[in-house]
Amino acid sequence: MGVNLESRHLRRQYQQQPISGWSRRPDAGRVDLPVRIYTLGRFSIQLHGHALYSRQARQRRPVEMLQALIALGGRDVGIDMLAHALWPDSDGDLARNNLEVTLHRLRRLFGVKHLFTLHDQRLSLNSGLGWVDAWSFERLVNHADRLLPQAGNPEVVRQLVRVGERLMALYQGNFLERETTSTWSLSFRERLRSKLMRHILGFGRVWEEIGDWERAASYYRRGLEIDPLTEALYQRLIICCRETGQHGDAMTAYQRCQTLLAQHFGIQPSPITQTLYSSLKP
Amino acid sequence: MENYIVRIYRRDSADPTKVAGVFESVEQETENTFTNLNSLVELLATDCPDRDPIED
Repeated sequence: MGVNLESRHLRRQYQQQPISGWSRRPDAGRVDLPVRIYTLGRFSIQLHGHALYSRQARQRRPVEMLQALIALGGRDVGIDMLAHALWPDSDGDLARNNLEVTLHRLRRLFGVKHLFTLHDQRLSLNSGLGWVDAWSFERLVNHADRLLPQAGNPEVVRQLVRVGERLMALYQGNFLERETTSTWSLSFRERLRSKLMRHILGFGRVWEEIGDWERAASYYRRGLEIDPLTEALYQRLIICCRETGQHGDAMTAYQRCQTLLAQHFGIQPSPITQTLYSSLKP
Repeated sequence: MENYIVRIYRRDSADPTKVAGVFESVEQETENTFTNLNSLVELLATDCPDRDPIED
């Protein structure tokens, strides 16, 4: 990443931003919306600030439709596609009929007019009335994509701190990971996870380049919580620990990497990782 | 339909058949590892015994 190492001035300015410690505070945007839907690491619905979703059997299908609608993009989702996702073994007419009945129940469950709009056989969850954590996450990722190439600019770095904190706070776990293994959920779940992992490395490199090794290390550790087999994260973490004189932590990171790679794949750490390890020895 | 997630963690640039990764069967909630393409194919071939034949 072509981040320019700026002056101490930049570092001082930037380091005034606190590390919040991945608070569970959700994205602060659009708190005014009547509906808030949490899908990352959990599933819950808030309607006018009160929990709506209970796991009653009669709510199962409408809620599943809502989840599938979100997973398939949430806006202008073709109802045939949605019906096929939810009733893959039913023929077209039956699946369509099921969808109409379930949509009616879903609308009744929320009781918010125009929350679900159907135009030209396409169903949308109205983002003017409903907030979804996964959507907010994706918007932040897109915002970060625009900011990361400009990370030499102190103002951009300040924005990146805020965006990074919000991204991490939003991503409390994989999309609907405890709710479903349905086909329709997989692609979206993996896409979000992949974006997070890419951004952890991207953000981490920015923090490294401006000398905030502690913040960078915290990002890499978070990445390893999500995927403990990603060797690149161990490499960056070892560098961060080495730069802050925490050789014990660096050794621990290397040993964990070595152990997990051996356990899972029967392989040794890559030459790059081994070179980093060698650099730790006095 | 069967759903799998394949994650690749290591590739050998000199030998493309050498790949290390995790093979996850979504429905069966099982996870296996592979260290080359042959073992990945083997996992795919053995994961689901009740498979209809594919006609030519």
